[in-house]
Formats: sequence, structure tokens, C-alpha cells
Amino acid sequence: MQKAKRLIGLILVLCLAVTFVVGCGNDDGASNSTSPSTSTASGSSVAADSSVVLDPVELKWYVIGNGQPKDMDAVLAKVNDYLKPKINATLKLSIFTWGDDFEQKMGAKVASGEEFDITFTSNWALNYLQNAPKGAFVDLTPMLDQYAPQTKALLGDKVIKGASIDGKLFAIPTNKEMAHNWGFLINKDLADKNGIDISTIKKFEDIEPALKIIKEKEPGVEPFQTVVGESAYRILDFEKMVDDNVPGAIYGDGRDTKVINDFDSPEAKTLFTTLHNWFKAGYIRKDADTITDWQANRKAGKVFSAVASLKPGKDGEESVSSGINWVQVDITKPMATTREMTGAMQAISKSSKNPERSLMFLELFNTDPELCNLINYGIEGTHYTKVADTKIEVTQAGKDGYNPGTPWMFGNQFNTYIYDSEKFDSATAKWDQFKAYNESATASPILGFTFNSEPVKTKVAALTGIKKQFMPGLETGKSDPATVLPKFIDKLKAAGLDDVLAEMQKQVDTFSANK
Amino acid sequence: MESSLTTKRGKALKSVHKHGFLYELKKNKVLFLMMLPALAVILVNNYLPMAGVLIAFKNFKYFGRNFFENFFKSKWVGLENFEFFTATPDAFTITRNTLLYNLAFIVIGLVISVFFAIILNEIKGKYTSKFYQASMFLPYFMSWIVVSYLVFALLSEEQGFVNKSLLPMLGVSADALPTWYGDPGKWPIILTLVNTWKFTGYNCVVYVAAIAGIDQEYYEAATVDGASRFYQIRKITIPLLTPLMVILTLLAVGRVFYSDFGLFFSVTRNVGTLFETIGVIDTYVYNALRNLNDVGMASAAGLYQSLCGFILVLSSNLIVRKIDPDKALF
Amino acid sequence: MKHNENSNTLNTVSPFWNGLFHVIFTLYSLACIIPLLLVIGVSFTDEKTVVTSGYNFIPKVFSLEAYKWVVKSGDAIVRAYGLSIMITIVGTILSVSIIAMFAYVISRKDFKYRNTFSFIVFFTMIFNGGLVPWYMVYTNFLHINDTLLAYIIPSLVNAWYVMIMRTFFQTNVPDSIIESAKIDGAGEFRTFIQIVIPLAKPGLATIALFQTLGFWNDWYLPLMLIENAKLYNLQYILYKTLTAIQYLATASNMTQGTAEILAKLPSETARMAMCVLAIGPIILAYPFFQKYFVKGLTVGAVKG
Repeated sequence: MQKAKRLIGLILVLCLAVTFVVGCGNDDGASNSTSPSTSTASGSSVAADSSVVLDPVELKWYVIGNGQPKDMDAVLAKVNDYLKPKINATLKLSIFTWGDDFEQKMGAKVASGEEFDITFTSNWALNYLQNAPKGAFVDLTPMLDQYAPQTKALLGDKVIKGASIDGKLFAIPTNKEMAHNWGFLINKDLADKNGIDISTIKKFEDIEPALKIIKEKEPGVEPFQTVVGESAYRILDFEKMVDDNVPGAIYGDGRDTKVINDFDSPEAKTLFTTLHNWFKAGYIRKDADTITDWQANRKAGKVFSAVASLKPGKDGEESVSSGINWVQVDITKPMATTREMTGAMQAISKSSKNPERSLMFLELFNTDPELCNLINYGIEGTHYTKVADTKIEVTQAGKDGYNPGTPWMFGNQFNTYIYDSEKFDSATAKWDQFKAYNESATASPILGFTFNSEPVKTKVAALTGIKKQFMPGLETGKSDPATVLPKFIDKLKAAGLDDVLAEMQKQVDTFSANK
Repeated sequence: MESSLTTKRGKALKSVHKHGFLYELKKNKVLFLMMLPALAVILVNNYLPMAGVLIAFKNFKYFGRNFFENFFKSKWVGLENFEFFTATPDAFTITRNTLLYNLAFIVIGLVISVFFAIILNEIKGKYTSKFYQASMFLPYFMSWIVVSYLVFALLSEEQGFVNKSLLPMLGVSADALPTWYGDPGKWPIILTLVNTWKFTGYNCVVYVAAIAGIDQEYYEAATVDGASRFYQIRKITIPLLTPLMVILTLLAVGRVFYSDFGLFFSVTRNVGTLFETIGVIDTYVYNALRNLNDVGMASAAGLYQSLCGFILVLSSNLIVRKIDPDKALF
Repeated sequence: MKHNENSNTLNTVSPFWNGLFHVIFTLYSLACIIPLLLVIGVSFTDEKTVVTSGYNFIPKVFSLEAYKWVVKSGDAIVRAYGLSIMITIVGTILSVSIIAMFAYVISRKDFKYRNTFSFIVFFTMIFNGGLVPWYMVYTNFLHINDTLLAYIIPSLVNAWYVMIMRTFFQTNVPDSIIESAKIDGAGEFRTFIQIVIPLAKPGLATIALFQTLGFWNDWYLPLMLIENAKLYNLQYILYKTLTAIQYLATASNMTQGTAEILAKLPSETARMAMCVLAIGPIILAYPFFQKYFVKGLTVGAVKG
């Protein structure tokens, strides 16, 4: 025992010593590397001169998607031919796979301070709201006017404000649809077959008679799908302070800025009761809280309706993906919140040696349709052919060799082509609709507010754990809110809910006061 | 004079002790050389990164372009990162579940694998025995995701084989069908069964190999003395397996605060209503921290599990040592 | 003659017990084989059929779609298979040698520091410094990320197997044999190779089997340390596909515009196809190890 203790001590000391040696070694590197970051401050002069001479640099860029396409090198060669004369940079783009692959790799790269230049970030992958305040990304605010004036104008104040944290912009949002609303997706074939008139559905409860008909006439079909992660709860459109997992929100219609426990609101209680009744009536499948793959049943035509996040043409998109005819019914009004602004962004890593050049690249990417379409769809004639001015068809070589399929993620979606299969006449028609939708949206009263969970992070973690115990039962109608809801609320309170809500309110008030 | 003599002697004794290691090194040069590759690997792979446990006591943030700068500039926060664990009213439930499941897995795993290994050895028919052994291994190859879909195909309340075909065939009425994923009471048994099914073949191999390594002369001698086969198993096989059983159990004790994430997350489908009986430390940490991306809190959770396991294994090792020093871990 | 008969009956269990054991194992083997047959069945079924009519042993509508989807571009999978096999073989041989040498030394009762070194190894099983420092050692210090070494070096030594191997040496190799070898004037290393190793064959086969499985099933090291698509091993390709399926199947409105990918996604069947693809070669390797687990090894035989 004594020996073991001594040994542990020895080992720890040894490790520390080694760390120090390695650390000091690298410290030299660090002090060297401070020079480029100081040059950020004096960047203006550098860039002004460098319009004449720019050193050649390589920009490492990581994004999420379907993995590295086979023909990436060929496309990048084209991209680099294009970039060289403009900003004397070459691009090295790596596409990691959805989910853990991207998350784990980027998590390690960011945490270990590995050198790279640009990364995809958002509120759902490599969390922008968590990483940016910790200092993982370069603050772009002072650099925008100099290196990305057109992007700044393109995005506009609303978006920049919405994507900023404490007034600082840490990533460039993709220019795309910037609002959301909630409603139903309804299986059109099943509705038509059973004579259901969709136009009568104006609010959430209006769908009930239709569910009854489906339940009676279509055995084997789920009348209403609500599962964990794709739940009916979202129809209440609370503007959450952290995310769906943490209690604390303001009303999504922008009536005030009072932070409440949304799970305990009268609206939530009504919804849970309705869902529970639907569950008992058999409109919701009995094992809804165990479903992890909800797409499968939709594709098989076994789902009649579900709550979904909508935008113009969502039903068309969904019809393509599931091979089933969907029609969308808008229930809530379009709102512009921080959530959309931070849905897809490109950030410049603090470990980058060339933050200026990276931003110059992003500026080009956002403003130049040629570059944007090259990265999104590959080489014209090889990977796609044009069928109209802005409509394209992907060739077989494109399907096999280069098909990222994520135009909403890259740069400026309004500059991209659309597929021939889409029902719009031209890309312009589609993007005009998006623009109109963006403009119709009401801005949230706390647009641009991001909750800093730092002071209460341990409690936030505990609350998240509790939410995952109770919400799945409630949001799928399986649990009876009369008995389960009070237990849920009590447990949240025991885990420090009130402190968290108070902290949220404090930060919201400070934000509103400074606006 | 007297005192100086004793000090001299003391010094001499000390120096003998001090030179002990060098002396050993010289004497057993080859043995030390044989250890060298493994030592080099664990130094790099395990001991160098170990300084990283300090992150658990830091509020880790990014300041510059280098990990060490970030590390040194991050604030020390003492035990703050451990609070998310004590902040939850469920701390007791998840600790209890983690320990009880592991205890059950250790005991059942040990008994079943040793039992299977012994009777595999007794079975007549070389090929059938080999066939059994190989097929027992199959579940090990199925990933937890696949296992979770198989369990779901059995137990799902809407489409599951048990509720749709098996029980109705046995005459259970539709109202009396159990709600598998809604009843926490059933899961300790389901999870133990699934875990046993998945790992028995794997665990069994060690014991099968150990039996294969037993010198046949022992059995021959016992046969000559007229001992029955069961008597031989009791007096030869089991005692010779004991060191292995003790070591494997001790090693398992060191990890009792960890649990198999796949089993408790994928197989249970992380269903909230089952939390009372399926919540363990690892899934809790995952549920709580997934969205936080907090390096500090994540290492705090790991350190807590390691420390608790370490204390347990040191104490059990001490007990084993008291009984039989040869069987202890160290 | 009489003696022989006697020893035969005493050396085996009675027919009744033998029969009972067969029944137990037949049932248990079925419990292990049937699920795998189901997995194989589902993997060859049409995706839509699986969703509408559930899992079946025999495909109602036969389809190779899942395999086509997983394999997508054939050459990548073939290369990954080759790479996996190579890594597994090289890794296992290296790892078993290193572990065996170390375990042998700490199993020697006459080695003074055996407990200290046992502890040094055991300690690594309990404590680790966390992901980030570990990642840095390989990327910033050793710089073996994006090389094949990244598959092998981190898994070379496993405390668990070292301890198992130590126990095998302790129980299977009598001290007296080592002593007599020494007296005969054999060096330590020669004793180890010529006398100790043959005695510990079942133990070596065990950890070789475990390490083979470990190297074969590894997707975590490439996930963290490999970026070059040409260096992906089989499990990592399968893992990526699997997590992407999981992710795309559940990701809600976050991933807009993934419509086309989703449309083609045979999620249920692809999972099963991947399971089958990953098991294939390793099942063929199993008998190779199994031959070392059969009874009948005698120390006397080796001595003579």
C-alpha cells in the first residue's frame, strides 16, 4: 500500500515533468505563433499591402456531410486554379461523416489546439454556442469590414446580430432560409383516400377528427407520429434558452421576455393531456418512446401525420426523401430566432495561422457563384450538366464521384443551382420564395441573445439528465401528465431549476437593457 | 563511537537497499530488456497523457493557438466540475444501479463461464465440443446496435415477436400483454440475460484455455488412485482455475463504476420511463454532458469512476493478499 | 488391460451426464446461432418489406440492396478488407510477443520487482488522462496520425491481457522447469522461447484470439487518428456508415436538404448487412485458435 502510494506520486511527478518539457518546447512555437495573431490587430496594413504580394498558404477546412467524395482532389484542383490568382491560397477540404465522426474528430482537434483554419459549426454539430464563448473560434467582428465587406452586407444586420454572441460574431452563417415555423406534415394520399379536408386544420387540436378517421379506416397506420427528438412538443414554439433538453424559455410569439419553465406552462400541460388522450385512443403508437428511427415508418407509408419544422417547399423536399406525397399545414407564424442564424456556419479556428486569408476565402465563397457551385456540385460537364440556366442534372459520374448534397451548408445558398427534379421553374423562383419567407418572419425580441451557461453549468447538466427521464413519456403521450408532470417538476426543482431560471432571466434582462 | 557505528551501519544498509534496483538490473539484464517494449508502449500510451487528469480541476477554455497555453491559462476551479454529479437528485440511483449490475455481471459471468468451460472439457466428441464453443462465440460479434434491434424485434409492444406471436399463442389475452419498455421492474433481468448471452462465449475461452493447459499427469495420477471424474473436477480442475478466477474478478472489480454504454444505452433505447432501473453512471454522464462539450466535466466524471474503482480494487487486493499472496494482483 | 478400462471410465463422465451436457449446449448454441441467422435473413430482405412485415428468417422479398448500399464503391471496401487483415495479423503478432515477454517477467517468483511492475501495468487499466492529452501524444508528439502505425501502437499492450498471461505462466509453467533449464546453462531468453512458450500455448492462443478480435473490430483509432480515406480499415467504414444511418434516420430538421440521401437509405437492412460483412473473415479464423484449446497437453511431453 505504502509502496503503491509512493509509486503513484512518482508517476504523477514524472508525467508533469514530461508535460512541462514538452509544453515548454511547444511554448516556443506558441510565442512564435503569437506574431500572426498580433498581425490580426495590425492586419489592416498587412492586407492593404498584401493585395500586391500575398504569401502562398494552404487553408485546411473541415465540414460535416457524407464523407470524403472520390473526386475531391480533382474538384479541389479546379478550386485552387481559381483561388491562386485571387488570394494565393490553396484549399484542403475534408468532409467528415454525419454524427459522431465529425463530432469526435473536431472535438479532439479543437480541444487539443491542433492547427487548422476553417470548420463547420452550428447549434447541432460542433456546438457554436458552447465552443465560441470558450474561445475556440476567432472573433470576426473587427475583421469583417476589411476582409468580408460584401458578406457583411449580404447577411444584413438581423442575421449578424442573431449569430453574434455578446455582440461578437465568431462564424459566418450560411445565407439561406433564416426563419422557422411549425406545423403538420400530412400524408396526402391517405388524406385524399379517406376524404379528409386538410384546409380545415388551423390549430393543433383541429387534426383530431382526421386522426379518428385514420385510426378506424387504416389499420396498421400510425395516425399521429410523435417520437423523442421529433416530438409534437415543438408545436408550442417556445424559444428555448439553451436547447430542447433544458427547461427555460420565453414564449415564441415574442409577447414578452419573461423566462419560464416551459415544461410547467399551462400550454404544455394542455398539450401533454391531449397527447395522453390520443395515446389512449390509439392515435399514437404504444411504443412511441422507444422509436429511434422514425424515418423508416414514414417511408413505408405507415405514418399519417407528424409535427415538423417548416419552410417553403418543405413538403416537396420531404416527398423526395420518403417517396410519399406529403402536404404541409402551417400552424405557427414564421419567427426568426438565434436558432436559424446559427443553423449552419463556418468558423475560423483560433489555431489558424491565417485567419485573414481564411476570411478572404469565405468572402469569395459567399459572393462568387462560380466558386460556390464548384464546391457544391463539382465540375460542370463531369459531375453535372446544365438543363437550364440555373437548373442542373447530376450525372452518374457526379453521383459516384462528387455529390456532397449539402448546399444549405456551404456559403450562399441563393447563389446555387437547383436540381432539375425540384418543382421550381428556376433557381431564382425558389430563392425568391425563401427571401420572401425570411422577410415575413418576425424577429424574436431576444434575437442575438445566447445564454452563457457557465455560471450554472453543473445544474444545467443535472436538469438535462432529468428531462431525459420524463419528457419522452410525456411528449409521446405515454405518461399521464396528471401524475407524472408534478413529479417531473419537483425533481427539476430539486436539481436547482430555480437558480437556473433566475440566471437566465438575469442574462435576458441584461441583454434587453443593453440593446 | 557506538553511535557512529550504528549510523555507519545504517548507511551501509541503506546503500544496499539503494543499489538494490541497479543490482537487480544488472543481474536480470535480459528480463528487463524483455519488459522494455511493453513499458515503452504504456509510457507513451498511458502515462504521458495521464497528466491530463488535471483538466478535471480546470475550467478549460481556449486562449491561444496551443493546448499548453490554453491549459495553463485556464482557471483552477477545484472540485466544481464534479458538482454536476452531486447536483442531481439521482446520484444515489445511478450509483446503486451501476454497482449492482456490475456485481451481478461479475458473479454470474464467473459462475457460468467456469461451469461451461468445465463441462465443455468433459463432453465426449471432439467436433461437437468445438462446434458448441464456436457458436457460443457468435453473440460477441454482434454490435450493440444490432443486438438492440434484435431485442426490440422481440419485445416491441407494437410489432414484437413475444407480444404479437408468442404470448397470444400461449393464450395470453391482449389486455394482459406486458409492456416491456414501460416496466422498469423487468429490465434488471433482461439486461443481465442479454449481457450474459453476449459475453459468455468470450469469457469462457480463457477458462477453456486454462483447462487445456493443465498437466494431464494430475488426472492420470488421480485416475490411478480411483478418483471419480467429478471428484477430479473438484480437486484438480477448480483449484487450478482459481488463480485465474481471482485475477479476472479483481480486474473486474476495478471497473465496477463503469458500465457498458452500448448495453445500457442502445439496448434499453435510453427510454426515460425505465430510468429507475437502467440509469447508470455512464449513461447519465452522456445524457447530461452531451450538449455541453465540456472537457473539464467529462474528465471529472472519468476521474470519479476511476478513483472509486481504484479504492475498491486496492482493498480487495489487500484481502486476497492476506489469504494467499501468490494470487494477488500485486 | 483392466487398468486401462478402469481409467477410461474414471477419466470421463457417465453417459447420463454427458447427455445432459449435450442438451444444455445444444440449447445454448441455438440461442446463439438463431439470432445470427435472423440477422443474415434480414440483411437479404427488401427494406420496405422489413418495415411493413417485420423481421423474418427467410426473406419474403429478396434484395441485395443493403449490400450494394454499404459497399457503394467496391474498391474501397476491398482495400479496407485487405488493410484490416494486414493490421490484424501484424498487430496481433507484435502485441502477443510484447505482452508475453512482459507477463513472463512479472510471473517469475524470483524476480524482485514483479509486484511493482504488475502494478505499473495494472494502474493503466484504472486511470487514464482522458481523450485530449492522449490524442495529443499521437498527433503532436509521435506524429503517427494518418499512418498505419496509428492502428497498431495504441493497442499493443492491454493490462487485462498482461494479467491473464501472467496467470497462465504462473500456473502452467512450474518453477522447477525454469530452474533446471538454468542449471543446464540456458540463457533467460532461450529458456523463454524454447521451454516456457510451448508450455503456455493455450494462454498465448487466448490472448492472440482476443487481440485478433480487438484489432479486427477497432473503429475508434481510425476515427480519432486517420483522415486519409485510403487508410480506412473495414470496421471504420462500417462504423461511419452505421452512425450516419443512425444520425440521418433521427436527425430532424437540422439537416435540411438531405432528401436524396434519405430516400436511398436502407437503414434496417444495411445495419444487418454490415454485421454480416464484419463477422465473415473472423469466423473463418476462429478454428485456427481453437486447436490450441483442446485438452491433452502434458508438461511431461514437452520435457521429454
